[in-house]
Amino acid sequence: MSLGYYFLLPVLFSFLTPYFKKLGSFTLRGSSILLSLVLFLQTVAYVGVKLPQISQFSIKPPLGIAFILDGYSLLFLLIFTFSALVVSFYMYWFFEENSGRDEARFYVFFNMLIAGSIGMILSCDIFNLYIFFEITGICSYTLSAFNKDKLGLESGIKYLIIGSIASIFIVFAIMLIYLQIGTVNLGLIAQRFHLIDPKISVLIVLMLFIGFGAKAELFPMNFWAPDIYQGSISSVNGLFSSVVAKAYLFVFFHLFYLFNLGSKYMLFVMVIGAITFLVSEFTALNQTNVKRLFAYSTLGQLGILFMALSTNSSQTVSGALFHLTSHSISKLLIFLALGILIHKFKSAKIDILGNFKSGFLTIVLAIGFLSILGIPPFSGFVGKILILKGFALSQNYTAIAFILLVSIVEAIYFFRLTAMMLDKKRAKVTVKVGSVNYIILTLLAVLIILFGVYPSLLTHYTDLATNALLHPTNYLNYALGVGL
Amino acid sequence: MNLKKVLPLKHIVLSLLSSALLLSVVGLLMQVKTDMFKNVGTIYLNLNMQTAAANAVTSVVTFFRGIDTVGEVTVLFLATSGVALMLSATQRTCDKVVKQESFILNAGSRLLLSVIILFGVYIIIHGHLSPGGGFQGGVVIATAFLLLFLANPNMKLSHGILTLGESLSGATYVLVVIIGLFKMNILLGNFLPHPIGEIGELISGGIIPVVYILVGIKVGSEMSVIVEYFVKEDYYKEVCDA
Repeated sequence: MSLGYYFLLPVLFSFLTPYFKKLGSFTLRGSSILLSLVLFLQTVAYVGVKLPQISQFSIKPPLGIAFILDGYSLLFLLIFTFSALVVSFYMYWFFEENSGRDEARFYVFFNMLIAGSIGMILSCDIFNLYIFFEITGICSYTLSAFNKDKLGLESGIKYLIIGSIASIFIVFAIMLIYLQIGTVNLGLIAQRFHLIDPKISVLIVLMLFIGFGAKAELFPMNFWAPDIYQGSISSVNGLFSSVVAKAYLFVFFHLFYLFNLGSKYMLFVMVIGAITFLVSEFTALNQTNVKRLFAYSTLGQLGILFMALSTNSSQTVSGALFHLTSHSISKLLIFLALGILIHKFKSAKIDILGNFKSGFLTIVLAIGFLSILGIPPFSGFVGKILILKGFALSQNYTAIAFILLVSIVEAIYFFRLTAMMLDKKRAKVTVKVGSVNYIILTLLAVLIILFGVYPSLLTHYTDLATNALLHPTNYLNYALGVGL
Repeated sequence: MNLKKVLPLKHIVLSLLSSALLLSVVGLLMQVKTDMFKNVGTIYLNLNMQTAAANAVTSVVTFFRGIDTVGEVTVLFLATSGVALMLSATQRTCDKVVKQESFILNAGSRLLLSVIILFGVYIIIHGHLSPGGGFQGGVVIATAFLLLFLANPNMKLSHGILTLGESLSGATYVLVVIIGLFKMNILLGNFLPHPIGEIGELISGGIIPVVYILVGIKVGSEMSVIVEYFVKEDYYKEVCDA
């Protein structure tokens, strides 16, 4: 199998969607599930294969464009294709319940959203990466407006404006890079980046920081994120939280370490991450809409990830990647479970968490909440403890104290939500969970517990990813086309 | 006239600040030397003979950086789907018919239609020889339909044919990319014969004209759909809501 299929198969599927639609909605949904399954199985087949793998287009790199899979991208690829598979099963239930929606177009945007995110993490050419950035962007604008009500359209137009501004900055940065280095191949840029005039290199870094930071929901540029989460359907929220934001974060740190910016900008990114964490968790405290609440919680977790990933120490980065995987799974679980409740109550007020009666949903939601909060034996605990351990090894006690203190704020609202679910005094409405959702949510909850109890299942891959991220020699050789 | 009301101090300060920022960036750019390395554009120009396409820009767009073009086509496709998704809610069936503008305008636009489409097709199939190509030719074709809509607002495009053209050309494009993998062991390989001797002929350059024709069909049908959605949006507002 070639890496190009990660992009080409979804494109082929999207182009042919009008004909799948004519064959009936069962074929449409089934083929989307099949596509996600094929991509997931392809990714699983790459586990254990000698990395990096390369797939070239037209001519050899550095002149041509290539997709490169190393340990770092493999971890993200596993998360993305797994989330896509889970969400495509979930959407089967969603469209059964909400008939009359524009299913065919949803699947087009959904599959291209995944393909664009995967393209961003595989491409070794910064302009090609920008194309995938645009594809992911357009899909997210449309998906966030998929409800077509007032909130949905507001979120769509907001995302469109923010996304366009972010892409202007990135195009400008790419233009400056091309003017200075004469190429857009990531390998050559990484090799020659230190030769650029320092004044220009600061400008380039700033532009890339604004562009990718705005999309990865970093503090000064993330005011739009909660509105977008509020306006879109909850499966899309799950995707934004566990796939799209993570793809931008991937690119951010991939460029960060490839261009060797660690020594100069580490403190800057760390402080920005810390502010993101602090502000988001405090804002989450007084939210009355569940979607907004978990949007802020996502921003907070991204803040921790930014703090930990910028440290350049392998223990902390490995812990951060563990936490990232755990966060993706937990947020997907929470948003999909919330989707069932929101569908039942037709409201996203925080009260719905207290008004439902379903033992199964209470358990999985509690697992999700406690995992994000970092309570043993769930995977979030291991992620956080690994990050703290990494900080302790590099003797950064300020960061440890900061994370622990702000986590108290996080604990306040997560325990409040859990208590609300368990409160027996409230009026309860029985919520039934369909068999498909039962399986999906159980699978996600089991994964959270499994990674919490046996962290070594995952740490193997996070260590591989950390090694590939911090020492990208192999990646650079492939990107430069050495020995191909 | 109160100047403070028309131009508040905040706006003046903001615009002054932003222009100062812009000027400093431009000043920074002016003093930077840009010829540190041989840029990849020059290398592509030297390699152009390999593809046997007379137009070097075309060989960069469709071959050397061909996957970018697949991406661009996808971006346009997604934009069209987005427009359709957003506007299909406001568009309902409406049987009211507006009076035609005038017979001469209508007949004249129909006469021009074939000429414009022919010109678009010319631009598309000569994409590898002269300036132009699939994107430009496709947009020219869409302007022909725009003219028809302006002359006769009652006109409807056949969506079956447009979807067929769009889907099939897009799917074939992806298949061309994948066939390259099996024939040349590299995605988007130029698997059709492209001897250098044929440079400048209509049939030359291997897959390059094939790709541009497919892109042309796809862009032409997509742009026509976008034009129709936008024109009809106004039409429904004026005619049906009145």
